[in-house]
Amino acid sequence: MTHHPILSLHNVWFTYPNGSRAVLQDISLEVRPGTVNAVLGPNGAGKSTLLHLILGLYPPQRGEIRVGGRPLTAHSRQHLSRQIALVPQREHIPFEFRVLEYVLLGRTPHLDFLQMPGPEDVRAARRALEQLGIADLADRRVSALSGGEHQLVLIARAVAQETPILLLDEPTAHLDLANQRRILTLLRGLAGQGKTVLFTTHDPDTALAVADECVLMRAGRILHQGPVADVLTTEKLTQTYETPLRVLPVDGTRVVLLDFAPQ
Amino acid sequence: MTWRAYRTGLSLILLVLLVTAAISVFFGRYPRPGWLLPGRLRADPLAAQLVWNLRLPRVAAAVLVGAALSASGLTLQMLFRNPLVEPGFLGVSQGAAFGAAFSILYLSRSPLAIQASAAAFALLGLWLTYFLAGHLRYGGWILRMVLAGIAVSALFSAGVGMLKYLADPLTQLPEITFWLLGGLWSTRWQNFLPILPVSALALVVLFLARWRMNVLSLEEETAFSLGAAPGRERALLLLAAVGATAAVVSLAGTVGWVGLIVPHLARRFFGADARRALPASLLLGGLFVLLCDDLARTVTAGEVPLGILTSLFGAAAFLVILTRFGIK
Repeated sequence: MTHHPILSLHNVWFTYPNGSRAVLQDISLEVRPGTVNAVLGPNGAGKSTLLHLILGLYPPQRGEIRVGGRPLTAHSRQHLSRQIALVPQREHIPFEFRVLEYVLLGRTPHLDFLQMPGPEDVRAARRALEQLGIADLADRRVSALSGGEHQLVLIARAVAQETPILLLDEPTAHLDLANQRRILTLLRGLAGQGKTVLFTTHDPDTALAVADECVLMRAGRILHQGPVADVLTTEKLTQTYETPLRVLPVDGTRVVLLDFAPQ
Repeated sequence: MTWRAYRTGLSLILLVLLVTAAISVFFGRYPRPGWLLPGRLRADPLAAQLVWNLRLPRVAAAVLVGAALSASGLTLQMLFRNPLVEPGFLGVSQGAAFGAAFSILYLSRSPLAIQASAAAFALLGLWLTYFLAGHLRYGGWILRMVLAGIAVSALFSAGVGMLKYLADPLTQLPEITFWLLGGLWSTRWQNFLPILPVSALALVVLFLARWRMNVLSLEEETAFSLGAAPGRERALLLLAAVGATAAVVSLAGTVGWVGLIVPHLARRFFGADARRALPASLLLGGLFVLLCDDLARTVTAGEVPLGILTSLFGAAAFLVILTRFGIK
């Protein structure tokens, strides 16, 4: 494929304002449009920070991030929010918004500062709910949803934003198997419609299930990156997680098992 | 709730508010407790004087105080992502109380001077809170503002205690106490009109930004990813909300519970979306304080402090909501 990357990082370094250690060190990454990309690594590897930098929440101290071929800093806030949507790891909502009202918030990038959403925005929000198969939740309170439904609603809000790039922070972390499957299938489907998906996870099986490309991170550095088949191997994963594990071929795919055999 | 039901409900409250305001102007204790017939205005110069220069500004002030406290309460609850926040908690209410007591003791006991001093110290309280929050080395911005607000309020309330201790128990102390309990007995056009532009402007800003409030009630990173500039936008709305609060508190004293309970009622009836909850808070707040103030000036020959009534009914309503429905 010869597509230009829709999103790229070039030698990015980042330290939090009052931190002493560089949370991201020399990160370079190219993401092609319409692909599913997994950022994989143990807790504290810097995965969420990476997403925050791509959003523009913090500027990197060194290096450059480009979105759609232009530097991140060349985009206005509003323009950037029409390019990249975020599904946070969890969203605590202290007020009892209805699902449709919450999903409608995804339309904000398409509105001016004091503009209210109109009928077209409501239609876009309903479309997002339908696309995710949760149109029946529209009038429910967000606070009364189950974990799986809640995650779907968060994704619906990002889908209603109608951006080419979708970032997800640990989208399957607290879900049971059926809901994991539902979310992962959905991500695949969104990529099929041309969206570029980048998600973080600490679970290699999640990456194996849906990702085209994979990045292995540890302690702020990228250890390996490339197509899933090349990257998710026993050797490379063991190095990333620093714990004995094995990647086994099963029925044409692969599974990751922790290795409890005596060393 | 559908938008149609919302519009009907809101129109109904507006109607009740207008009718109550009209009635309030002609209801009171002159010439005897009960009605003052409009026809009397032409025959009785004292009645005309009373209606135009006392009751009318007082009714207008009651509506403004209620609307401002409620809209500010809703705004701060959403910005701080906490349904238990009330509009004076950032040092504003206690600052105003200190300013009023200070003026009664050392400056002047004219209502206008007390009001000016209360407004100045309310803003000083807010500035101190903001300044200290920037220097705390703990937690995110919400926690820092809350902690600084608690500390500044406590400082001013200690100051009020000191001033009460120093006050002449026969003349100054009752006046301080009465101010602290809140009320509109001293309202005339000349002390109502100065706060009108500030609070009206602030309320217009809050009204226009009500959709944005929904966005700012989300987590920081989400609000940012939706294109908002959370820091700047929050500061703007915070300034409008607290400015309106400082203005009305300087006139009415500490009128408790309005800013806490009315937003809850508004959300209960019209849902959490600020596009509906904010206009509803404005009208319900105006109606609530107007009714309480009507009681305050009519139930006895003297004057029941307004703050006592709003706290009584507000806390009672709060308990009913909590025990029957839970927080919303």
